[in-house]
Amino acid sequence: MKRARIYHRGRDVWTTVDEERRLLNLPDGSLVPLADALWLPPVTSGAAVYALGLNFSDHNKELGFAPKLENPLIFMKGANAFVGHEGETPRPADGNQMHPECELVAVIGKLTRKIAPEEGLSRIAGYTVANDYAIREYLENFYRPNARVKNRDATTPIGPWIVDAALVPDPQALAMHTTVNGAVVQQGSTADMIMGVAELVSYLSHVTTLMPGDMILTGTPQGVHFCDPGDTVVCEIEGVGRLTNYLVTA
Amino acid sequence: MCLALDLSLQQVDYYRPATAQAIRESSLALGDWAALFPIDAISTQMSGREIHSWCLERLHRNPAQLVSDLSTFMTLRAGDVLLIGLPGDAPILSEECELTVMAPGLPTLKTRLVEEQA
Repeated sequence: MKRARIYHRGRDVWTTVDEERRLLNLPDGSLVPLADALWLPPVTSGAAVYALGLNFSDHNKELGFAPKLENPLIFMKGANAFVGHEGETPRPADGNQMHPECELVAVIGKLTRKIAPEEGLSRIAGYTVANDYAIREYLENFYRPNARVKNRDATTPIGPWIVDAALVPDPQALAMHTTVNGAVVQQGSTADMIMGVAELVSYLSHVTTLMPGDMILTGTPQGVHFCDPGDTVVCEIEGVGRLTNYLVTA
Repeated sequence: MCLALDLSLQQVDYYRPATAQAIRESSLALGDWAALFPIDAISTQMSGREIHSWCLERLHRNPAQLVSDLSTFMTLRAGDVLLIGLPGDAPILSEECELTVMAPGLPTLKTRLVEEQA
């Protein structure tokens, strides 16, 4: 099953997605064509959202970093940062080095505390796609990305929906790519993650208690491309979803 | 505003603080809220003895400047909590203890550091 959160007649509603019939099923039984949906970020209110930096061996190589950091680079995101599928992201006038970062997002399904990596995947409810844009000239410290880079209003597109974990048997074998105006600028595989989903869940569960709805943005593969206002940026992960974002002048 | 006690595990490298060391369960104690009040210094006591004191003049950005700077790229909403910063010379705690954080004009914050349950 796929679950999406949309804006419908004055409120936000969680729906299920029928991709074959191109419809969203609302809780009251009514239907909305996919083409008419106003997509909201599929993020649970109050969820803690963790994001990984430098978690792909190919990306680390491209940037000249060690293949594996001593401590995983984790930062957190506030709800202000998210924008849904087909939403707009402001591109600052001086943000000439703004690049898209396609990421697999794991959504926690159960209260999780101090578990082994082998149990990690059993705690995942589903997966979605995020585009964790970075603006490189604002980055002051690679090891702790500042809020001006990673917590900007509407600068983390996420969605379109959450795919049930049962439909993604191996989260470490998914092709991922980003296109800008149709041209491929990022291409990789979740197989290149340094810490995989199961290991990340276990690691975080030893630091804090993970709650249903919490999310982990698992990092981005190689491919650094600088975007302009007016660009259409699409991040796609095999079997999970295709997330579209429009860059506009801030 | 209120006082906070932000307990972090010791970082290997001051310039490469790992988030996981700073977001541990129940590691941020918040005191009771009070109206805005000009604060000069914050004192931390361990079992009645002062172990740290710092002057807000040391802040690179004062609270008003911080809110202004952050608001240029993120929307701050009513109820959002902003920790205004930590001095780099924070003390190290090595055993279970009673901790008290004080600043004239703000409700005192008391908490207890205990061994983490396995």
